[in-house]
Amino acid sequence: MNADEVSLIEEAKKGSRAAFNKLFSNEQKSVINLMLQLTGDIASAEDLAQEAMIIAYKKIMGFHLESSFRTWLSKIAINLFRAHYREKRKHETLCLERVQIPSTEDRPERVIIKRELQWCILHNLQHHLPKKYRLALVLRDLHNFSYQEISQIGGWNLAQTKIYIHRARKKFKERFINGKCKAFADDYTCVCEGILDL
Amino acid sequence: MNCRKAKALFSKLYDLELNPEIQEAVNKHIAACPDCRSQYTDFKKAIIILRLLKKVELPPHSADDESSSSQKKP
Repeated sequence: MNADEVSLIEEAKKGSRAAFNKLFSNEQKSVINLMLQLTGDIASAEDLAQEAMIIAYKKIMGFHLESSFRTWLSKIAINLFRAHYREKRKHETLCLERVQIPSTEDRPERVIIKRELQWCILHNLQHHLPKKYRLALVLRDLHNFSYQEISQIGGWNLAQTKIYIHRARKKFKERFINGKCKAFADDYTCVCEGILDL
Repeated sequence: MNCRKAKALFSKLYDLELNPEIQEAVNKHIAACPDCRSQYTDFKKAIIILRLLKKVELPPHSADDESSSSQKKP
């Protein structure tokens, strides 16, 4: 945690709204993205991020710098996600079976394929990974939190965290290889600048 | 090192979380085993593809627009 952040936290704890707003605005996009990646729905993502901000504001006095502000705020948002989001959503609204992969003759622009690929990945996260695996995967691979930070956010011990990350990646890989994501990815990589160069 | 042990360590290998001796053993196994090599390549591809979601663009009013009704200050 850098000195500026510590200073802003101390000011916010003394009641400075400006300091809190600055702290939150630094992380706002990241929190909305995190919620979007977990819920698949921008309206819910914005609502949860907004609610997280309000709770963080109320609880800032109890934040004793045990982690970065980002980790602490993410944990609040994750707890809201867990509390409010229904695990079993209606699958058919996003079901991949309704998606047609564009034919070769009539292939849309690369950007469209990319968006479909992103949507496909999002769908797999939403509907084909258990919530704890989804959470571990998103925090590790999309937000670059360390294993230790993920333990704090998820409320798991370090060994559990490592297991969840491994199993989540394995399950996602299986879905990716066997599902339509792979087809989208192959289509996408035909015209991309080497995203799969390893 | 056998296939089962190597596959169980893919995630830690990817995150550089293994101690040097085990990392070397897994890498040696992957280099020598076509099946594990193929599976580890797919494993890395899946993570790279997953990371495309990092680049999902939020709607214009999200996060940046102070006047948005959904982005109230406390």
